[in-house]
Amino acid sequence: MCSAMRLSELIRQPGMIWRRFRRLLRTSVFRLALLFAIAFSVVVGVSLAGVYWLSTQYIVGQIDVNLQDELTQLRGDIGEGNSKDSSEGLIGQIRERVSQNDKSSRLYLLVDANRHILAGNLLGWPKDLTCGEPAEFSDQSDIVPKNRQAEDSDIRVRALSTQLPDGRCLLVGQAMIEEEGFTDHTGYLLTWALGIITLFSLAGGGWMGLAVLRRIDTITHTATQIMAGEFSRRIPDEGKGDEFSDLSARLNQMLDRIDELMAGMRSVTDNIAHDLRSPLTRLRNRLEISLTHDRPADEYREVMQQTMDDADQLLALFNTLIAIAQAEAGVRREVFTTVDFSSLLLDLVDFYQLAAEDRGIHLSAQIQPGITRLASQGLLTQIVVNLLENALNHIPAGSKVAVTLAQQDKTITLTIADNGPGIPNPADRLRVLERFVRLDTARSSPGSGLGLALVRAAMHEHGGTVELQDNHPGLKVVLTFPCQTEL
Amino acid sequence: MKLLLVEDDVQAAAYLAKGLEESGHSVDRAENGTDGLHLAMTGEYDALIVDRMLPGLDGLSLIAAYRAAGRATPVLILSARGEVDDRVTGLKAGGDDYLTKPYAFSELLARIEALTRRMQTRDSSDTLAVADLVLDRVRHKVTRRDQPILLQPREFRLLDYLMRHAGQVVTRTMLLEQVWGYHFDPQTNVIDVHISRLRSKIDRDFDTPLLHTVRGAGYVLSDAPV
Repeated sequence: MCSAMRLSELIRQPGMIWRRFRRLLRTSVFRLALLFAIAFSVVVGVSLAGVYWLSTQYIVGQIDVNLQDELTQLRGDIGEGNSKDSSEGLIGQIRERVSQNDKSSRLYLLVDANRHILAGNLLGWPKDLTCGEPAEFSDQSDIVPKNRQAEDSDIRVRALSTQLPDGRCLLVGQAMIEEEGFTDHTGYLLTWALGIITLFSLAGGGWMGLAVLRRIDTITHTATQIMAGEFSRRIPDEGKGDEFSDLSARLNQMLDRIDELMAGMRSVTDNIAHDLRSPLTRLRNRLEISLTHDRPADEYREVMQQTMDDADQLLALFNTLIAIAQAEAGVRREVFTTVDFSSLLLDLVDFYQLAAEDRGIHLSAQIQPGITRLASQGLLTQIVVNLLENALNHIPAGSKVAVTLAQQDKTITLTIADNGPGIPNPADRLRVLERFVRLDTARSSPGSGLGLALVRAAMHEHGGTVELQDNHPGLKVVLTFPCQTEL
Repeated sequence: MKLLLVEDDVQAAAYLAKGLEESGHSVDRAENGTDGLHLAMTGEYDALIVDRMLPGLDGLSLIAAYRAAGRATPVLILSARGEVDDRVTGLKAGGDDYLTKPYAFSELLARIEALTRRMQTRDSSDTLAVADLVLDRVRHKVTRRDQPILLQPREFRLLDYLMRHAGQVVTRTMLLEQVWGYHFDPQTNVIDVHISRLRSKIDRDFDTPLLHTVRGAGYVLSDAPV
């Protein structure tokens, strides 16, 4: 079993290495390093080529200076005596120099106007060479004597020549054996240097890529685990304090936040499930009981009517939940228009006046005229309706409800205060803003426990706040719309 | 009445059609926008009921094309979305009324009947009369059996709406939208108290009640008992 596993590991191993290498090739760090290595190599290559070119130029220049010196010297010899003698003297000089420099790479040639050799150690006049022009040629026509040649036959010769007054031509040349060797060596060294530099850049890039890949792999691994359901997993901090540690810390914070939101969602879902179960159960049981015996049609009709009412209530509940979700998600901004708060509030108070009177509740309004603000007309109406209906549904006959609207320093304050039983416990006054929270005192009256949650979500959408205060006695709901920013 | 129902939810369409047919209307059905437009252009209908989200041609484009062809038949838009601007775009596209899902069947029926009635009484006269109740729209006066009845402006508008739809059921939501211009779902009897206040003014001192409550649906103004 164990050996079999090891065998399979071995079989898998090359594939794994190859896969890792291919991943490395794909990493941005490695690609950057590769790009950098190429750019670096090109720059280094160009500079080294420049150095090489300059050195060879310098060497050729030095040779030219020497050749020129020698040429001038030999010409000077002609000028001293008469032409015939000096001509003989020049030939003698050349022969002397040839014999003296037997092993050196210096080359001489004196030819007459018809390019016939008069003296010198070159075996012929170089092809296509015009007398008097500096020249560099390779020995294609084998005019360089064998003892002047390097082992490889492809020898290069640098030559200067001068036209003598009597039509003859004198040439002094240098077979560049040592020079060739030097430049070859330099080129060899430079190529190696370039190779090593490129290799190191690539290796460095690869190493960096692998290092980054390892850190990324840690994050990827954690993400995979989280996706597989281990939601409590977090990216381990290697304590290096670098950008990867920063990233890991941020990602961990994000995961914590998501965790919180998920917990919130779960509790909302639990609440919804719980709050839907009771009316649905009631609905179902009523239907079941009505089916147990034969009943007169009127009774069936009554049951169906009640069932429909229950279904309507459930639908209303869902509508409110959707409205809260939409307000929390943020309604689209184009819904925001300039809304006249004062007249909207006056109209609503007027609309509910009869309903208040019907309950023996005194509804009064103190509204500063002309208050406007960018708002969602629909949401604002819903906020006021929910608060007014809450008051009407929860306070006894003979109570008072006072609505006020005022603006101070661009902050709009809307209050709806009553002198009913109120919510004595401060913690409860916070709690009732949550979804589905219904206080025991409100259990008997109709409602879903969503009204205030919708108010809070809608206020949040307007950048405002809702606060429940003790009205001594009663409840005072304070809505604050801060100085509006341009929307 | 002959109605065209364009709705891609087959089950919902079947229930709707059943309900409408039992209420005495004949219903043609289409399941997508293209077929719907074809039927609307070739047939003669009293009203169209068009779902906003449709495969093929969407509801608003259907209505726009229908209106572009010069057809004036009233159209009721059904929509799953209920935001204010959606309502506005729906009405701008040529719809006459807008109903957000989920809706009660009685609501849909009342609105369809109100829409077709509106077509018949487009040239609304200056005075409306139901039995001995007379409303003078020019002089803003209401009389019953020639006795003047004093109404607040809102009460006048409420009665005006009820009288224009005399004999048909109007729902609370229709009143809320048409008389007060609100689009919310009240959790109190706020509409009912307005109605009972109006009722006390126009019915209390007279033998025949005119303003009736229709259980589970709304109200109807009629001299015939409901």
